[in-house]
Amino acid sequence: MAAALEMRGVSKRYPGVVALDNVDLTVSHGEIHAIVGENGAGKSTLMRILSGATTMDQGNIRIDDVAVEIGSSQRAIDLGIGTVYQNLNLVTDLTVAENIYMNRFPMRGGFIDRQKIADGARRALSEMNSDIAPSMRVGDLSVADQQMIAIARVLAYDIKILILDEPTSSLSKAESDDLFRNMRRLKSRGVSIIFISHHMDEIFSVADTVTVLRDGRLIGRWRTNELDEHALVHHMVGREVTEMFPKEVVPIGDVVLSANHISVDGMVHDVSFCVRKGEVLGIGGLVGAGRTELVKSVFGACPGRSGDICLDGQPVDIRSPKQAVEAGIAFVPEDRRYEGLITEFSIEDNIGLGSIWELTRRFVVDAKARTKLSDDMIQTMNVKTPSGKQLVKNLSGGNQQKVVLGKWFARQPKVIIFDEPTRGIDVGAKAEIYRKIGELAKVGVAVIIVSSELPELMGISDRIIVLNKGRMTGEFARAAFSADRIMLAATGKAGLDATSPRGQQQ
Amino acid sequence: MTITKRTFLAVMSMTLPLVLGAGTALAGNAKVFGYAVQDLGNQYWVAVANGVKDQAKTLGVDVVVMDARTDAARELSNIDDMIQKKVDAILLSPWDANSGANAVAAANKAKIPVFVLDIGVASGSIESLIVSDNLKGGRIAGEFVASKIPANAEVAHISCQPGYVIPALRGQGFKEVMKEKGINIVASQTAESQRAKGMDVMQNILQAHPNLAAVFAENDEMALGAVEAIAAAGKSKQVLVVGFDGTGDALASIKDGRMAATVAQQPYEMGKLGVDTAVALLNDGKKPEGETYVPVKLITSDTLPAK
Amino acid sequence: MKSVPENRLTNSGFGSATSVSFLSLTRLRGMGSLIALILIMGVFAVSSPAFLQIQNLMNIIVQVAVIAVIAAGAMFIILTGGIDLSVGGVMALAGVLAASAVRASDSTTLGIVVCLGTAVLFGLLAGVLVTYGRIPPFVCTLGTMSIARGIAFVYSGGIPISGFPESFRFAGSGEIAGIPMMVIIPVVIYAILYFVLVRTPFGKIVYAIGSNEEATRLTGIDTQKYKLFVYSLAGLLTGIGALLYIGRINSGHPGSGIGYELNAIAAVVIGGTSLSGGRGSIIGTVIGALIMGVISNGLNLMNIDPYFQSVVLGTVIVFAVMIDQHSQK
Repeated sequence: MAAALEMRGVSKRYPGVVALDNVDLTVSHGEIHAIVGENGAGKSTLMRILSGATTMDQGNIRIDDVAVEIGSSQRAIDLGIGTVYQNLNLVTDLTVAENIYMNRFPMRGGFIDRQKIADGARRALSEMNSDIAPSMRVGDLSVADQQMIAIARVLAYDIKILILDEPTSSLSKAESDDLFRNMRRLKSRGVSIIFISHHMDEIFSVADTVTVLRDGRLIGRWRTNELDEHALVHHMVGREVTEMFPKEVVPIGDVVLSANHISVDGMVHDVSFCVRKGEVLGIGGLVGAGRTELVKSVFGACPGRSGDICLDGQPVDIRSPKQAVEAGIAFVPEDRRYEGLITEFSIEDNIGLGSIWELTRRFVVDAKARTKLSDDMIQTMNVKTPSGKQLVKNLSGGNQQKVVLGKWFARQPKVIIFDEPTRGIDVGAKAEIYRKIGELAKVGVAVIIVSSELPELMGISDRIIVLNKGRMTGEFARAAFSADRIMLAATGKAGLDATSPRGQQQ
Repeated sequence: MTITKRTFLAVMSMTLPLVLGAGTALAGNAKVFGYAVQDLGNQYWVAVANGVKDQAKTLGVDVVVMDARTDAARELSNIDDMIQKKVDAILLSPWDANSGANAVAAANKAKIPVFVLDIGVASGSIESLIVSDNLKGGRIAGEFVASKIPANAEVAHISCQPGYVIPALRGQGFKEVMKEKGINIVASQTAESQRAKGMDVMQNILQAHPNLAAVFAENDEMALGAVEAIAAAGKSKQVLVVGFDGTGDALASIKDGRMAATVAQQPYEMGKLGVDTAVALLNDGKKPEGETYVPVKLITSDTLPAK
Repeated sequence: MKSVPENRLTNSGFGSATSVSFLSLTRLRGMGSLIALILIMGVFAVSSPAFLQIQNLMNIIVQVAVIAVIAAGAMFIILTGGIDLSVGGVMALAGVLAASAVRASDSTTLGIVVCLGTAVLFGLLAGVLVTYGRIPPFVCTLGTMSIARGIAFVYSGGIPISGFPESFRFAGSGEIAGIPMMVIIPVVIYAILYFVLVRTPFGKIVYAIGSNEEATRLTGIDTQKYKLFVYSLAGLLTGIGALLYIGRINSGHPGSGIGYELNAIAAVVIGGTSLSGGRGSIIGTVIGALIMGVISNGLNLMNIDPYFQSVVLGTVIVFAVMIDQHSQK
């Protein structure tokens, strides 16, 4: 039987850069096919060609052994290729049904046939085992439900090939598992799914086949049962990632920061924790457990907090990020492009902004001192850039994150809080970020890390606390780390763990 | 991107000569007058400007019209530009008497003769003020009202902003006649020259004086507002409305029988008279009077200009 | 490993051919308007002999001085991602109150204090409403504009207040060594603001707030405080504009300054400042103001139909924004 999709010799050149160089992709009927590669490997370009968002310079595409030209997104849909982008492209102010029928409303007498779209939407959602009401406003739904709707919208066309671009990046473990069940269901109906993900465990659990790209070239195509995680990562980065989590043993000192009885309006309820000099404290839990609110409130960036915070044993009043920064706390937010960095600024300006008053002499910013500080940080953090004048928006995710780290490291903080430090960062850069976090701990910084990725959390933390629905449901010392028990605590099924007493009394 | 920039430059360099072509090139030896007008968004001043332009053409004078768009600072800039252009005379319709004084001071400094068309100036040396005979106009309105109503009837008066000298003359003329005829003015209020305010004010007056027989407004805009208020109160047959200016809207309203009369200024004539006066001084050395009056005339349904 | 994510290659990959022209254009932001200014001046120079005379060029600066000064304030606000529609009304109120203070006391100092004080207070009020009151700047300043103009009319009864001592008019009509104060004051103000914007931490923070307010706040900068300061600064500049205005026309008029807010915004936009904040230069703004003044003056000298002048000005604004949009891509 012919393949559902065959791309041969696809090349795409942007001025100065070859994005794709003679790449092949073969996807069989009813197959879940993962495409992996580091950022910049060409995955997105390949998918953009397939979905009609851009055109290729060379190559040919066959669907069911028929040569086709994909010139526009509409044409792609007509050919049975549907794409769900990472940002979902939903209109949050419209209802579920309206979103599903966007662009092709059935009309009756000049008006939208509301009954028909409601029924159609209900049918589409029930096929995915979802009972979301078609009349709900999309903005009121969880990200996982929104994703479901984005997929249902695409499936409402006669889709034979479904492209999912990093669909799990904002989902919790349970939500991801739901998604995977739906993917398998679609597969059993003969739909071919192209799946882009950075997560090795997901690829091995759901994909049948995997195509690896690196630097715009095809590295190979394997069945997932032919190789293991280690080998796949090796193919992706072209080198051995010997030590993904280079955890160093660092002497742990006195308590630097202790937060007592922290509550945040409806999101966090009476959580107490502390972190010591040189210690990496992990905060685990599901998406929506209140982890981000907890750490943001400690940083003074989340209104409605009660409870006390002590730094070096002294109570501190932190009501704004300014006070937190002055007290020696730094915060690396989850969304670096909107919260962590000013992407229109250069690296130098971003690093300089963090220490702007320290760099000011007699009302004037000392440009030389700023360049020196920035160059030091670029070197310390190993930011890959031709110069500090480079705009941050032109850097890759990993390098952007290193700039955020540099900005804070320049201030020599006592505490650094990370919220999902490696989200959307490729494998090679991830290891580097972990190494930097380790180095911070080594020089005596107290580190707090919020992460949804269990291997990451367990790999780099000295101690983990777990939240469920705003309450602390577990605390684990490194010796007692167990994925099962942490997961159990995260789902609220376990009480405070007995293997490790509360941090303060340790 | 480079394409856009080139396009921009190309279009700019094409547009400006076009604009250039739209203006009339000034002849070398003819006299040039500048007309600085307060607001060409207003029909009245457009008519004055047309009078100036047409008469200048007839008499072989070039004229530059600059519009202050109701901004005293722009008015002053326009005068500076005229001085820069070395015009032979400046005709000026100032925004108000104070801004006019600044404009005249600048022209005096440059030794350019100034002829003020309407409004008047607070200070400075001018050749002549060419203005409608507003006091007389107010009297004409008064005579008309008196001829239409019994001596014991109630009348009202709506004025422009307090401190506006010229409209106040109209009110003064009207009041003089009422006093002479022994007619009682029961209400005298301001509607700040605006139609909407005129309507509000008239509503209030009607509330207080239901038996009102006539109203005189110092301009047509306020009179038209009063007409609306009277119609809304169902008293169109009872209350006589007389305005001042003779705007197109007012004439239409008279034609429809909603307004009784207006005292028409003749702005076009004012513009012509301004040019005449200036030419007489510059070419024939004929010194004008300090004030030159433009006649006004009463317009009723009987004397409507045929159109 | 490439350091450029693939989906960005189309517009800003560094080291590529397109990026060179993109970067150089970014650096030359404001150059587009400078070229336009020179071109427009060239056309006028050819078509009107009076245009290039020193006296006329001085006239142009005097004519744009008020707009240029208040445009500088508008630009700071726009850089932070805000907008100020209140300047016309605030100018009128500051002018009327100052005029009345001067007439009553014969004290120039009092007049200046009242004028600047009124404007700063209104700037501060807008700032407080925008930051702590969380009212969108557009709505907030629309409100304060109306309040200010309303008070100006109520206070003056609609009648202009005129006739000041020479010392009070000095800013608007005086001169030093033959150079009008209306030229000296804007030049000094722009020199100071250039320094502030380019060299001081305050300038950097203004850009940072406009580019990404949340990231700036999470970097430990009290963004509210700086926005408050920016609105007050704009108020101060509006006050200076009012001082120049009433000094020039020798009258505090409650109806003055109508439409000045839009002219100021137009000057800022023509100068290449992005209305979404974070990008723009002070030099661009002064060029923007000059373009508006030159067009008005040149068309006057060429005896162009006054109605047509706003068509030309509008065309220039549209082209300026178009360039801005295209260079953003």
